[in-house]
Amino acid sequence: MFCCIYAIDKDNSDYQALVAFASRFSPLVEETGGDSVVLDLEGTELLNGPFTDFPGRITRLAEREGMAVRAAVAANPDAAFHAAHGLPESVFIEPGKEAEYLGDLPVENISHLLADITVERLGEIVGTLNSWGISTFGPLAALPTTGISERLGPEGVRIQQLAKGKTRRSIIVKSTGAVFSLSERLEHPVSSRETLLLVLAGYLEKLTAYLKAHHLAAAGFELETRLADGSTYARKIQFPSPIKEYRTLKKILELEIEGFSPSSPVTWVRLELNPGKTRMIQSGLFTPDTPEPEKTELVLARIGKIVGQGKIGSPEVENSHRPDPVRIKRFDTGSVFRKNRHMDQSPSARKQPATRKLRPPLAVMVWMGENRPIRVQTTDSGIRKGVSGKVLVSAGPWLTSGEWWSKGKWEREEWDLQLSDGTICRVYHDLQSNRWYLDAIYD
Amino acid sequence: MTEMTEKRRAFIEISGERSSGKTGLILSELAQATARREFCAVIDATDSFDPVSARNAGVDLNHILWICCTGKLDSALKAADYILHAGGFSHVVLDICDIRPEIVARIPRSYWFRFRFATEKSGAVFLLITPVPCSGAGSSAAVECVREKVEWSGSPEYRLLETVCARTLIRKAFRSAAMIKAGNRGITLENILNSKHK
Amino acid sequence: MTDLFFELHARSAFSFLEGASTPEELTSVAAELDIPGLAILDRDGVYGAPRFHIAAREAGIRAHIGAEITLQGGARLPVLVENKTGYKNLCRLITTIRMRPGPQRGATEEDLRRFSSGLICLTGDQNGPAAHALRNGFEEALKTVNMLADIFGPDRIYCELQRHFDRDEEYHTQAIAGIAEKLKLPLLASNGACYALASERKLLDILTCVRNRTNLQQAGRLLCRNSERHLKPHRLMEQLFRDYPGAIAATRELSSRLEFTLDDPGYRFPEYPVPAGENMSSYLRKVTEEGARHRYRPFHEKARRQIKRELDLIEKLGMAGYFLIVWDIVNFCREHGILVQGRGSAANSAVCYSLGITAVDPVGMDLLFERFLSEERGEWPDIDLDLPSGEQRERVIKWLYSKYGKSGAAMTANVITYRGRSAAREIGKALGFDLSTLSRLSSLINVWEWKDPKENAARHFADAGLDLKDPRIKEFFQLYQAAQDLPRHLGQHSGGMVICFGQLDSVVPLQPASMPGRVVLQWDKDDCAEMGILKVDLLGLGMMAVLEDTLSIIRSEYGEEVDLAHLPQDDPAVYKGLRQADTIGVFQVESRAQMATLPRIQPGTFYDIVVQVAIIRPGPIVGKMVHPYLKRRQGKEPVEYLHPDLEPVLKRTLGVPLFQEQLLRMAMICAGFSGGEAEELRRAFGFKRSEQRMQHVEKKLRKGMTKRGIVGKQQDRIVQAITSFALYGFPESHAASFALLAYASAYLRCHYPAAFHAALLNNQPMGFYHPATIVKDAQRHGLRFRPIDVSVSDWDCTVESVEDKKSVRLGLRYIKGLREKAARAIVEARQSGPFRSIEEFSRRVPALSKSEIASLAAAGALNFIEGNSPGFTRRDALWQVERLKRPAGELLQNLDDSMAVSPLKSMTEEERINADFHYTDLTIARHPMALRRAELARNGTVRAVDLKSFRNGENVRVAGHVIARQRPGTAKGFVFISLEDETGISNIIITPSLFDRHRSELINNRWLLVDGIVQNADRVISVKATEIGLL
Repeated sequence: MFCCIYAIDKDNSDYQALVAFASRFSPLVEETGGDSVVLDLEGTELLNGPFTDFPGRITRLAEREGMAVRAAVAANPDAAFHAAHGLPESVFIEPGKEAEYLGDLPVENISHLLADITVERLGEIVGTLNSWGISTFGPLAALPTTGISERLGPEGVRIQQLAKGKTRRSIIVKSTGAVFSLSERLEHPVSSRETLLLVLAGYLEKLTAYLKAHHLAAAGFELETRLADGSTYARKIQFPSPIKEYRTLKKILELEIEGFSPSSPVTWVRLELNPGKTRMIQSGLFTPDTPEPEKTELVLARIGKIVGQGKIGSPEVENSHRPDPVRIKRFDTGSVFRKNRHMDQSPSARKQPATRKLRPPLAVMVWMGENRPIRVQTTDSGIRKGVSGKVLVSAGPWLTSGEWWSKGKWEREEWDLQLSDGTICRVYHDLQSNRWYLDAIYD
Repeated sequence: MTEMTEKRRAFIEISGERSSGKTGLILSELAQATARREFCAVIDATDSFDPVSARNAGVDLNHILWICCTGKLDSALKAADYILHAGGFSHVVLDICDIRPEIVARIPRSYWFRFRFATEKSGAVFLLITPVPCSGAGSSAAVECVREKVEWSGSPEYRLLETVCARTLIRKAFRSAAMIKAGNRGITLENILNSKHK
Repeated sequence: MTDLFFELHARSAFSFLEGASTPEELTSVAAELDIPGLAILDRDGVYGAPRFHIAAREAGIRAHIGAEITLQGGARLPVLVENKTGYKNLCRLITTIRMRPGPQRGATEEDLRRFSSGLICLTGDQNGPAAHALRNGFEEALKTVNMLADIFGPDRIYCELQRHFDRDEEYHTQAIAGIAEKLKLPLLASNGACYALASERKLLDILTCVRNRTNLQQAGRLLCRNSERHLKPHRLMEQLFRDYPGAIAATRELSSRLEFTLDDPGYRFPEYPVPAGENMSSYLRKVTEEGARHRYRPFHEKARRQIKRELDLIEKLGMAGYFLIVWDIVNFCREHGILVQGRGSAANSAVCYSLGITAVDPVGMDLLFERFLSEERGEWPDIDLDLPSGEQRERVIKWLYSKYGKSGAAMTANVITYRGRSAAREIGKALGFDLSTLSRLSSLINVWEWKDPKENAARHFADAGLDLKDPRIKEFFQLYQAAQDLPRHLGQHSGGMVICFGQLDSVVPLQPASMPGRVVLQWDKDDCAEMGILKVDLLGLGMMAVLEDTLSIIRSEYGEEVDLAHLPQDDPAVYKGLRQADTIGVFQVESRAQMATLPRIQPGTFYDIVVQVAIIRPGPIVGKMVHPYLKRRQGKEPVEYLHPDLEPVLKRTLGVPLFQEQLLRMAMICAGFSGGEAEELRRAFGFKRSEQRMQHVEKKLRKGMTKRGIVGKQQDRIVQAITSFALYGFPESHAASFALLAYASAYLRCHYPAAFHAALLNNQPMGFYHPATIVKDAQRHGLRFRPIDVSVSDWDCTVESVEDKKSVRLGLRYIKGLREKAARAIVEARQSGPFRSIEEFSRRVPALSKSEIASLAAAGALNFIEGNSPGFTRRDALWQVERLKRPAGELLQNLDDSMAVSPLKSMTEEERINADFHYTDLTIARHPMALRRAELARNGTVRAVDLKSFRNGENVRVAGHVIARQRPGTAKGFVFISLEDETGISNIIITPSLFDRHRSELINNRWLLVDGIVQNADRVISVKATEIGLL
């Protein structure tokens, strides 16, 4: 005998919870469709009691756990499935009486999964049946099978069997994939970072060994901790190329949680390594030795700690007229094989001097004569050297404006100047704030 | 300049006034390195590196590791140390030339010797760009840039800045003895003699 | 005139998404900045030249013509037209480029050499040939400029300088200056204006995004670098080019060299091959004489004098060839039995009537000849020909291209401009709005346009869920306003097909139309009219096709010959039908509004039909002319005139001005306008383009009237009538030709119902009503329909005579999903003997797919095959059909079907009707409402036919199937719905408030139950709804 449990309000009921609930009654659980499970009840009479009132009991139990379900028990899994989905309340179908119960279910209810055909093909067959005036299971079952097979082919016959509730199959039990994760409720909570590190190092050792056994490497890790005062602390890192060595992973983990000082003792911790295939790069005889991915990852993490995360990587020029269209993206030694996409239209043939930027731009005072700058003086320039002097030669004005549609709107008038103190620089007048800045040195 | 850096394991100091053409020099050097598909690291003390100008000079930006230290000199020095010890980069550039000279002068000498040994061990070329000479004995060679000429084109009413040309003067040649012993193609005496002197 | 700056390299919105201002806007801003001369160089075309020429003439600045020619490498070479030969060469050059097949469309050096004479070229801006060459070095650029100088000649090339404060461009400018000095070529300054005002840079950015199918965020460097490419006055340009003063002076010198203007584009009227010994005008005289004698029996003196006057004028203007060509077209149609009828201003000419072009006698109707042709205004005639839509019209066009294509016949362009919703969607996408905001914005647009825009916008935004703080929303509305009427792309002329004649390719460039073998001018209909190009508008009219089919059916089935030109005039049966508003399927008078007025007007004579056709038009409705006419018609109001001496003009329409001709006459009488001025008035109001022209003419009108002592309220009422009228007023000649068709269709519907309805059903969709309603209406008039049957029906509906009673056999075309090719295959297979069984039918017609056979079976088309057992129902057919197409394999092939008798139940009547509607969109069985009449009667629902027995003001409940839903703009929100049941149609009037309350049921529900008050005023019955329910 088989029992199908169907979660009525699909959207908020957690499917995993349903599976867990079902597996309490029978080890053999099949997940059919996104909203129901089928159990094989063979030999569980002693445990679950007589089958006749099993559906009722299941529904009441589920309600107590906050899950609205409907259950149906029948001689074969498909009949139970259709009964649970179609009929208004939980029901027990004596073997042989399937047709009676399923008689007036609409034909559209037949699940294409069970009939093992595509949704479109099922739609086609249902369309033909409707044009024949057949809309429910009963009349379909009554049609001559040879007529059906000539007209609708083998799928037609299978659908008719489903309508009769006479199919014969066993259920397919689902197996779970390997997860490299360890989690534990600490007996005596950990209050300092060092001791937490020791615990994590232990996990790390076991997990890396486990990974090695599966010939895998760590492509990233997820750390999750719950503290006594209820707050949580979590870190999630993805590596550009998977890493095998325990020592490197330990160092990166150490760097990663350097900033973490637990406000109250840690009560629960979970560490999970995402598995990934190691990537073998065959470096050629003559290609220069590229920095090893493992070591680079470590160095980048270390320097990232010192200068701040967003400040390290390979530069990228954006396709925009913006004055400083620069972005930092992740430094990836693998990129050596990808052509640099950003070489859009070729830079103009004009000879251009090399430029050094001043970020953020330096506020300057500029004196104008016949609407050309004649003297420039920086005010405070902090650690950077300032400029001051008369303008010997000036070129410009060069006007640019853009992004008029957003808050990033800018409008500026630039001048290239040679000053008496020897500096050749670029100053610009921000027409919105009406202030002058020095933003580049030609060097 | 290139025959200098052709040689591995060199710590070369490049000093020069503002707008003396040092950056142009460095960018052309980086362009050749990335053309040879090598990876270079630019440790930028004052966020002065301009990727747009680099791309115009022909540098392949994917091969550049750019570290912006936003004016924090000690972070720049620490970063340089990590990079040199990690290895794998053919050129490591430490750019502190926008920092005020008196601050640069106060950098303890021990850094330079430490960088010197790290460079020799890792086989990279370490270029230190400073406003004033500061590495003293630490560097294996020192060059000074002086602006040769500035080219402006167009009429007085409408000028266009074209180029800033630099002239390099060798302040300190390689200590030839140690190099030749190591058997790699170091700078021989002839190279130093025929290059321009201050 | 000191050496002022002329902008000789501007670009208008006719560069399609590369310029942001219309020619009119560019000229008016140029005039304000007192730029004395302007040259608009659009990309590979002179689309905007006529409009530019007119606008410039009015603004008093010199309009120079030219274009930017795309070269092979993608660079853009600006060229200016110096003289007539230059213009001819420019048109030929653009035509050659455009007509060259293959993707790589651009002028080769050889093209330039062939067409360079008379043209002056510039070295171009950042996108010009010089700049493209400069990318690979100065020498390369020098070589390119040298080549250009060689092609155009050293005296016809200028090195162009542009300054928009950009470093790369400054490098280009310095290089070009160097080249000019080396090659001793003159320099020319320009600002390459792509928009008139700096603020329009935003619109240009949006258009760039639309062109590259991206949005502002991702467009990056495609957008403008700054807002400098606008029209700059002399003061700014002089300061900008103070280092090259010569370049500014050169613009004045070059402008003086370019003396070509579009006043005379060199267009010559078309020739017509005339038999030996005749010139065109003598031949025209002979033919007209002959035609007149045939048309006017007796050929009275008044007609003779009118024809002579017209012929002299035509000869004087040299347009004999044009008339002969049109006459030739009409003859071609007559020979091939294609119905043709001229209308539009041509109907005012006696010559056209004699040549058989038009069917309305202008002399008899005393029409105004100036409307058609007046030498004083230099306005050329505009002849529209109505042809049956569909392949008949295509045949005429193919013949026309084959006969006149070489010497010059091409279709006019149809410029698609930014309107309402399309503009809102594209601008929204460019601004990067997500779909939901976009839909909210476009819904706001309708509200916006409907109400007065000055109302505070904030409230609109708030209730549409948009916040004004987002800068993009604010920008959206400014951009939306700016984008209105901007040309977007060249569309295929949808409606009519305007053919121009004469040596065209030297007057306006041609380019291939989307239809193969067709050629399109670069100017639209109005431009051609402005430039004096003779054209004929071939309009496809569905009703003509129906009349033609009806006549051919009558000829084959009834064996009678009916000539539309000589129908018996006042047939009592026809007018009785019209008076009862029994006009479903009749041309022009079948709409709900017409049906409401027909019983009031009680048409008795042909002229009443002419009035009927013209009265339900926006013009009379807006001018509040309809009700006075109706009241006077029923004698409820005395006939009086706006002004005593208007009496002769308005007598025919009981003192109420309905037609445009009357309006022109009124202007001539009251304000002393001459014929030409009156036509000018009509064109001013008829034009949708400019506001000022209307005020200008209105002032002239009032001045004329006050001079004649018509003043105060009377003057205002006359002016109000004229202004509201001229915009929509319907020409009397036009109404007359339509009335002819209306009468013919009513006559045929009345006397040959089977033939007429068969033809009508073969030309769907047409008119107001769905085929299902037409069938039901015909059945109510006793016409029998026979179901679709594979052994009898053709593709088209046909007429079958069974013991002298005619009935309509529905055609296979009404099976939804059945391809015409498959249907034709059925008809062919049938020739070799009738089908004996479904299985044999499917074997003999392999072209049929399974779904098509299933549709046939479900529609009952297979029920009548001989081999079937008696009482064979659709379900049996379906049962057998399924088996046919299964690939049962050879083994089972000849196994006779043991399951011949289907176990399925047959369809109930309701299921059968549903199947009919599902598979054929109509049913010849009982109307669905009939099935539920018993149940409806119980809850007091009245049948449509019984409405007559109810008095005005009584409450009543009606139900039916919604067949028409109208919310005319002029009805201030009232909604009119027609409900059909098995006895007829009831008209429901729904007040705006009721509509808002039941908006969803009314819009998406097809079966309604309505409670309301009967309005039964002088035989027009309608129900004013108070409550709406669903059936």
